[in-house]
Amino acid sequence: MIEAVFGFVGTLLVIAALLCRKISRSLFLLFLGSITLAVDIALLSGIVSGVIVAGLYAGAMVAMILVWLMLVEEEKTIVDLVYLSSIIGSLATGLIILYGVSSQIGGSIVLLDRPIVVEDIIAVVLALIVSSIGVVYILGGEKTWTR
Amino acid sequence: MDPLSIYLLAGCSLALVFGGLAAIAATRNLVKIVMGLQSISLGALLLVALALGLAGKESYTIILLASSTAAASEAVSIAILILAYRKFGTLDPRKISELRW
Repeated sequence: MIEAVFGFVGTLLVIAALLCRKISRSLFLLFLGSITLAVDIALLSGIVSGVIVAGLYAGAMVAMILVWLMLVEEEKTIVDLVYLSSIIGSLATGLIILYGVSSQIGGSIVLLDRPIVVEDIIAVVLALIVSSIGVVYILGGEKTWTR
Repeated sequence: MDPLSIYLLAGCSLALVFGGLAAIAATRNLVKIVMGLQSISLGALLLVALALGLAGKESYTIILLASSTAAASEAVSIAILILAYRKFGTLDPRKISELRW
Protein backbone atom coordinates (compact mmCIF):
# COMPACT_ATOMS: atom_id res chain seq x y z
CA MET A 1 0.00 0.00 0.00
CA ILE A 2 2.92 2.36 0.68
CA GLU A 3 3.85 2.12 -3.02
CA ALA A 4 0.41 3.40 -4.01
CA VAL A 5 0.65 6.26 -1.51
CA PHE A 6 4.05 7.37 -2.86
CA GLY A 7 2.78 7.07 -6.44
CA PHE A 8 -0.33 9.10 -5.66
CA VAL A 9 1.57 11.85 -3.85
CA GLY A 10 4.18 12.02 -6.63
CA THR A 11 1.48 12.21 -9.30
CA LEU A 12 -0.28 15.00 -7.39
CA LEU A 13 3.00 16.95 -7.14
CA VAL A 14 3.76 16.54 -10.87
CA ILE A 15 0.21 17.55 -11.90
CA ALA A 16 0.43 20.56 -9.55
CA ALA A 17 3.75 21.44 -11.20
CA LEU A 18 2.15 21.32 -14.64
CA LEU A 19 -0.77 23.46 -13.50
CA CYS A 20 1.31 26.02 -11.60
CA ARG A 21 1.65 29.34 -13.44
CA LYS A 22 4.99 30.48 -12.03
CA ILE A 23 7.89 28.53 -13.52
CA SER A 24 10.10 28.67 -10.41
CA ARG A 25 7.41 27.03 -8.24
CA SER A 26 6.59 24.69 -11.07
CA LEU A 27 10.20 23.48 -11.34
CA PHE A 28 10.40 23.03 -7.57
CA LEU A 29 7.17 20.98 -7.50
CA LEU A 30 8.33 18.86 -10.44
CA PHE A 31 11.61 18.19 -8.64
CA LEU A 32 9.75 17.02 -5.52
CA GLY A 33 7.35 14.90 -7.62
CA SER A 34 10.22 13.28 -9.53
CA ILE A 35 12.02 12.36 -6.32
CA THR A 36 8.81 10.96 -4.79
CA LEU A 37 8.15 8.88 -7.91
CA ALA A 38 11.77 7.68 -7.83
CA VAL A 39 11.19 6.43 -4.28
CA ASP A 40 8.05 4.69 -5.52
CA ILE A 41 10.01 3.05 -8.36
CA ALA A 42 12.63 1.97 -5.80
CA LEU A 43 9.92 0.33 -3.73
CA LEU A 44 8.43 -1.39 -6.78
CA SER A 45 11.47 -2.66 -8.64
CA GLY A 46 14.53 -2.33 -6.47
CA ILE A 47 16.80 0.25 -4.90
CA VAL A 48 19.14 0.45 -7.92
CA SER A 49 16.29 1.43 -10.25
CA GLY A 50 15.18 4.15 -7.86
CA VAL A 51 18.70 5.53 -7.56
CA ILE A 52 19.07 5.57 -11.37
CA VAL A 53 15.78 7.41 -11.86
CA ALA A 54 16.44 9.84 -9.00
CA GLY A 55 19.95 10.59 -10.25
CA LEU A 56 18.97 11.17 -13.87
CA TYR A 57 15.88 13.21 -13.07
CA ALA A 58 17.55 15.27 -10.38
CA GLY A 59 20.32 16.08 -12.89
CA ALA A 60 17.76 16.99 -15.53
CA MET A 61 15.89 19.20 -13.06
CA VAL A 62 19.08 21.00 -12.06
CA ALA A 63 19.76 21.61 -15.77
CA MET A 64 16.22 22.97 -16.20
CA ILE A 65 16.58 25.28 -13.19
CA LEU A 66 19.91 26.56 -14.53
CA VAL A 67 18.42 27.18 -17.96
CA TRP A 68 15.47 29.01 -16.49
CA LEU A 69 17.69 31.18 -14.33
CA MET A 70 19.97 31.85 -17.31
CA LEU A 71 17.10 32.88 -19.55
CA VAL A 72 14.86 34.80 -17.20
CA GLU A 73 16.15 35.80 -13.79
CA GLU A 74 18.51 38.70 -13.31
CA GLU A 75 21.76 38.08 -11.48
CA LYS A 76 21.90 39.67 -8.08
CA THR A 77 23.83 38.82 -4.95
CA ILE A 78 21.71 38.05 -1.92
CA VAL A 79 23.69 37.65 1.26
CA ASP A 80 21.55 37.62 4.38
CA LEU A 81 20.82 35.41 7.36
CA VAL A 82 18.57 33.11 5.33
CA TYR A 83 21.32 32.66 2.72
CA LEU A 84 23.94 31.72 5.29
CA SER A 85 21.66 29.38 7.26
CA SER A 86 20.46 27.66 4.08
CA ILE A 87 24.05 27.09 2.93
CA ILE A 88 24.95 25.65 6.36
CA GLY A 89 21.80 23.45 6.32
CA SER A 90 22.46 22.16 2.81
CA LEU A 91 26.10 21.36 3.60
CA ALA A 92 25.13 19.59 6.82
CA THR A 93 22.48 17.54 4.98
CA GLY A 94 24.97 16.59 2.28
CA LEU A 95 27.55 15.55 4.87
CA ILE A 96 24.98 13.41 6.73
CA ILE A 97 23.97 11.67 3.46
CA LEU A 98 27.65 11.12 2.57
CA TYR A 99 28.25 9.71 6.05
CA GLY A 100 25.37 7.23 5.62
CA VAL A 101 26.45 6.23 2.10
CA SER A 102 30.06 5.66 3.18
CA SER A 103 28.89 3.34 5.94
CA GLN A 104 26.81 1.38 3.39
CA ILE A 105 29.62 0.88 0.87
CA GLY A 106 32.14 -0.37 3.38
CA GLY A 107 33.78 2.77 4.69
CA SER A 108 35.58 2.88 8.00
CA ILE A 109 32.73 4.74 9.74
CA VAL A 110 29.69 2.48 10.27
CA LEU A 111 26.38 4.34 10.66
CA LEU A 112 23.90 1.61 9.67
CA ASP A 113 24.83 -1.96 10.51
CA ARG A 114 21.64 -3.36 8.98
CA PRO A 115 19.83 -3.47 5.61
CA ILE A 116 18.11 -0.30 4.36
CA VAL A 117 14.36 -0.24 5.15
CA VAL A 118 11.51 2.01 4.04
CA GLU A 119 11.93 4.38 6.98
CA ASP A 120 15.52 5.11 5.90
CA ILE A 121 14.34 6.00 2.40
CA ILE A 122 11.66 8.29 3.89
CA ALA A 123 14.32 9.96 6.05
CA VAL A 124 16.55 10.56 3.02
CA VAL A 125 13.58 11.97 1.07
CA LEU A 126 12.82 14.34 3.96
CA ALA A 127 16.47 15.40 4.03
CA LEU A 128 16.36 16.02 0.27
CA ILE A 129 13.19 18.10 0.64
CA VAL A 130 14.77 20.20 3.37
CA SER A 131 17.97 20.71 1.40
CA SER A 132 16.06 21.53 -1.80
CA ILE A 133 14.07 24.17 0.09
CA GLY A 134 17.44 25.53 1.18
CA VAL A 135 18.55 25.62 -2.45
CA VAL A 136 15.42 27.56 -3.38
CA TYR A 137 16.24 30.07 -0.65
CA ILE A 138 19.78 30.33 -1.97
CA LEU A 139 18.58 30.94 -5.50
CA GLY A 140 15.69 33.25 -4.75
CA GLY A 141 16.12 34.65 -1.26
CA GLU A 142 13.13 35.60 0.84
CA LYS A 143 11.33 37.09 -2.16
CA THR A 144 10.72 33.58 -3.54
CA TRP A 145 8.04 33.01 -0.92
CA THR A 146 6.51 36.44 -0.81
CA ARG A 147 5.98 37.09 -4.53
CA MET B 1 0.30 -6.19 -3.73
CA ASP B 2 -3.45 -5.68 -3.38
CA PRO B 3 -5.61 -4.90 -6.45
CA LEU B 4 -6.44 -1.39 -5.19
CA SER B 5 -2.75 -0.43 -5.17
CA ILE B 6 -2.27 -1.86 -8.67
CA TYR B 7 -5.23 0.09 -10.06
CA LEU B 8 -4.13 3.24 -8.23
CA LEU B 9 -0.57 3.02 -9.60
CA ALA B 10 -1.79 2.31 -13.13
CA GLY B 11 -4.18 5.27 -12.84
CA CYS B 12 -1.34 7.46 -11.57
CA SER B 13 0.86 6.55 -14.53
CA LEU B 14 -2.01 7.25 -16.95
CA ALA B 15 -2.66 10.59 -15.22
CA LEU B 16 1.03 11.50 -15.60
CA VAL B 17 1.02 10.64 -19.31
CA PHE B 18 -2.20 12.50 -20.10
CA GLY B 19 -1.27 15.44 -17.86
CA GLY B 20 2.01 15.78 -19.75
CA LEU B 21 0.19 15.61 -23.09
CA ALA B 22 -2.26 18.27 -21.94
CA ALA B 23 0.59 20.49 -20.76
CA ILE B 24 2.33 20.14 -24.13
CA ALA B 25 -0.87 20.94 -26.00
CA ALA B 26 -2.04 23.87 -23.90
CA THR B 27 1.00 25.78 -22.74
CA ARG B 28 2.61 28.92 -24.12
CA ASN B 29 6.04 28.30 -22.63
CA LEU B 30 8.73 25.99 -23.97
CA VAL B 31 9.94 25.16 -20.45
CA LYS B 32 6.48 23.79 -19.65
CA ILE B 33 6.69 21.63 -22.80
CA VAL B 34 9.94 20.08 -21.56
CA MET B 35 8.27 19.53 -18.19
CA GLY B 36 5.37 17.81 -19.97
CA LEU B 37 7.85 15.51 -21.71
CA GLN B 38 9.38 14.70 -18.35
CA SER B 39 5.93 13.94 -16.91
CA ILE B 40 5.20 11.54 -19.79
CA SER B 41 8.47 9.69 -19.31
CA LEU B 42 7.87 9.51 -15.54
CA GLY B 43 4.46 7.93 -16.19
CA ALA B 44 6.02 5.37 -18.53
CA LEU B 45 8.75 4.57 -15.99
CA LEU B 46 6.14 4.15 -13.24
CA LEU B 47 4.21 1.70 -15.43
CA VAL B 48 7.37 -0.28 -16.22
CA ALA B 49 8.30 -0.37 -12.53
CA LEU B 50 4.78 -1.56 -11.68
CA ALA B 51 5.07 -4.35 -14.24
CA LEU B 52 8.47 -5.36 -12.87
CA GLY B 53 7.15 -5.27 -9.30
CA LEU B 54 4.17 -7.45 -10.22
CA ALA B 55 6.48 -9.92 -11.94
CA GLY B 56 8.71 -9.99 -8.86
CA LYS B 57 11.80 -8.99 -10.84
CA GLU B 58 14.47 -6.39 -10.12
CA SER B 59 15.59 -5.61 -13.65
CA TYR B 60 17.33 -2.26 -13.36
CA THR B 61 18.74 -2.46 -16.89
CA ILE B 62 15.32 -1.70 -18.40
CA ILE B 63 14.87 1.23 -16.02
CA LEU B 64 18.39 2.43 -16.88
CA LEU B 65 17.66 2.25 -20.61
CA ALA B 66 14.31 4.06 -20.31
CA SER B 67 15.49 6.78 -17.96
CA SER B 68 18.73 7.47 -19.84
CA THR B 69 16.73 7.80 -23.06
CA ALA B 70 14.36 10.22 -21.32
CA ALA B 71 17.27 12.22 -19.90
CA ALA B 72 18.94 12.40 -23.33
CA SER B 73 15.74 13.61 -24.99
CA GLU B 74 15.34 16.20 -22.26
CA ALA B 75 18.92 17.40 -22.78
CA VAL B 76 18.23 17.82 -26.50
CA SER B 77 15.01 19.68 -25.68
CA ILE B 78 16.86 22.05 -23.35
CA ALA B 79 19.47 22.70 -26.07
CA ILE B 80 16.69 23.47 -28.58
CA LEU B 81 15.07 25.74 -25.98
CA ILE B 82 18.25 27.77 -25.52
CA LEU B 83 18.82 28.04 -29.27
CA ALA B 84 15.22 29.12 -29.85
CA TYR B 85 15.51 31.78 -27.16
CA ARG B 86 18.76 33.08 -28.65
CA LYS B 87 17.29 33.20 -32.14
CA PHE B 88 13.77 34.48 -31.45
CA GLY B 89 14.11 36.13 -28.03
CA THR B 90 10.99 34.47 -26.70
CA LEU B 91 9.87 31.16 -25.22
CA ASP B 92 6.34 31.33 -26.62
CA PRO B 93 5.93 28.52 -29.17
CA ARG B 94 3.14 30.42 -30.95
CA LYS B 95 5.52 33.26 -31.74
CA ILE B 96 8.20 30.87 -32.98
CA SER B 97 6.53 30.13 -36.27
CA GLU B 98 9.43 29.31 -38.58
CA LEU B 99 8.93 25.58 -38.18
CA ARG B 100 5.23 25.93 -39.03
CA TRP B 101 4.33 24.57 -42.43
